[in-house]
This record gives sequence, structure tokens and C-alpha cells, in this order.
Amino acid sequence: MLGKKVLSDNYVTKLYEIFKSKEWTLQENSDYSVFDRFCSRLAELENDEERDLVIELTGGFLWVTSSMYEEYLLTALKKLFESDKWKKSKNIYICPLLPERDFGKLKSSIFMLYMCQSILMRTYPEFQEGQIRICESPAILKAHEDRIGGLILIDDFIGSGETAIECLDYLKALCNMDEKIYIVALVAQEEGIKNINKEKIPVFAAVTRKKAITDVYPEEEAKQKMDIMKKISTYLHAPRGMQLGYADTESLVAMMKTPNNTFPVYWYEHKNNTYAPFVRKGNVKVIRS
Amino acid sequence: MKESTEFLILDTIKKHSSLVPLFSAGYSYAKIIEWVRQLEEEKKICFDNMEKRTLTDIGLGRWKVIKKKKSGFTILPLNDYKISPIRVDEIYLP
Repeated sequence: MLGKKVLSDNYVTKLYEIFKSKEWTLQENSDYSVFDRFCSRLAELENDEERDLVIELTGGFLWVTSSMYEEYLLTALKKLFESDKWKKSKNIYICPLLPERDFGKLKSSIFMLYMCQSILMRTYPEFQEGQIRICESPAILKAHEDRIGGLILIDDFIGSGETAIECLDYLKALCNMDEKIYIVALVAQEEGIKNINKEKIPVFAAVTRKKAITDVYPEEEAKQKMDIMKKISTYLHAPRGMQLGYADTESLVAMMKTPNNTFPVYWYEHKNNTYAPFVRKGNVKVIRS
Repeated sequence: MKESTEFLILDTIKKHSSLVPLFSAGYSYAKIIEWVRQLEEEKKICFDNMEKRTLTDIGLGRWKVIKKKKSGFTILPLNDYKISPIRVDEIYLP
């Protein structure tokens, strides 16, 4: 660590308090602790104004680890089944929320499918009484069009809603079942929900999130904070158009993988940077036959 | 916590009122802050008026105790390396 920038104990203590209050693990049984990486990231920022902003925003950060997925999915499905928009049906189809370009890829929505078979899920009347059909891809649905009573499209996170809209466009071209479609997500940005609602499709999420700066601070203060965040992203060499997260979503969320809608300071690594705390680096990739 | 670790932290805070020397030396942020929190709970470390960490009376007392012990430490060679003294008549002079 010699020669590297070191974080002052004032910030280490502040970050420690946040980790404790959120019950995040401080030290994993491996060499690259999220806490240590977070400290390194804060240390490399240019000034305390930037550090203060990141610390302040981190107070509102949501980290949904894999062990929390089932609980969140149960909550989201409960919201759907209790909603007056839900039309009871004996034939429920569950399908990953995937755009055509991602068919066959290992995406988070595929991981969600397996959880739909869980023991806890079967405690819901809908899963006890009806016929539940879990589909690997939206492409299968055409063959089942006549039997589908309700179609639930699931994913772990909805950011800008672009992916969902792409998937809906595909389904619209494939078959006619707009009124039977529901989208369920563990976490969703309010902006994404609004964009999907414009397509007249209801969205049910365990947790909904506002834009972390625009929707939280008064206009003038928000502008100042956005400028600081853009400076941080530029300094960290974040890709163009991603300075406030993909599609300016301003998310403060990490799931099993961190969505690119989250501010890059939390996940972006470049050869000139140290470790990002909630990294989504290209060195871990899925290869397909 | 090992006594040597406790001394390292108390000694650093006594000298620098800061943990930065430990971070600069390459110790993990997570480990150091957890140890420090443990010492704070044991009322050995507190914050002064300037919001800097400092030793409490208990902490200073503990620092003195370990320091005293430390000066009495002797480093002995391992038994395998002990060599019995050689008498003058055992030395061969051609």
C-alpha cells in the first residue's frame, strides 16, 4: 500500500458506521473485502467534497445480496396477487423479462426463474391451486398463447425500463395478450416503472427507488451534487453517457451484480483506478457454446 | 485481540492521534477499524475535543503495562541452534 493514497480515519469511521447500520459484512473470508475496496475508492477521489457526497449518498444505498432474493421475490409477488389489477387464472406463465438480443444468455432474470419453484413460493394459493408454467424464454410463449391466463415477466432489477419495453415490443409482435401481462421485479426505479406503465403494463416491485439526487434534493443543491458526481465519474474514466448511471438513472443499488444504472463510482474500474466496491468488471464472463 | 496488536494500535494513537500510519503501512482498513471499535468499547480509546482519537486513562494504563512487558521481552535462539562453547584445547592448530 506504500505510495498509494490512504483514507483518513474520519472517513473510515463514517463508512464503518454506514456498514454497521446496514448490516453489511465488513470482512469476507477472502482477500478483497468490499469495505477495503470502498475505502480505497474513497481515498483515490480528488477531494473531501467528493468523498462527502459519496458517503452521504451511500447512506441511501441498497445492496440486495443473493440471500435476500427470495424474500424480495415473495414480497413482490404478494403485491401482485393482492392487487386489483391481478386477474385470477388457473394457468399462470412465468417468463424472464428478456429482450430478444439476450435470449439464450445467462441473465439475472433466468436465475429468478429457479426461485419460482421454491417451497416458500408454493405457500401462495396461486401456486397451490393453479397450473404454473415456467418458461425459459419469451420465444416459447407463442406455442402456448391460447392457454395463457396470466403472464408474469420477472427480473431482479428495473432501471430505465428500456429492457422491459424491448421485451414487451417483442411479445406484442409475437402474440396478443397485453391485458394478461404483469411485470414483477425485486427492485425497480420509479422512472422505469413510469416508462413501462406508459405501455399499459403494471409493474410490481418489492422496493421502488427514486433518482438518488434529482428526486431527493432541492433543484439548486441537486445541480451542485450532479456536477460533483459528473466530475467524479470523469475522473474515474467512466464511459460516456454513464456519468450518472446508464440513461441518467441515478441509482444507488447493487444486486448480485451491480446494475450499470448505479453511479459509476460504486462499480467502475479502469486500469488507472483501484478497486470499486460493488465491481462489475468484464473479467468474470459467461461463455456459451 | 493479541497483545501485540493491541499495543500497536494504542501506541499509534498515542503518538499520532490517527490510524493513518497503520493504513499507510498496509494494514486492512476493515481489520484495523474493527480492532479500534473493540478498544473503544473497552473504553481504552475515545475522541478528544478536536474529534481526534486519543487514549483514555484506561488506555494509557494498558499501554504502560504492555510497554513494560515489551521491554522485558527477550528473543532466544531456537534450541536446535544452541552451540556448546568450545574449549581452547579442542581447537586444532596445525
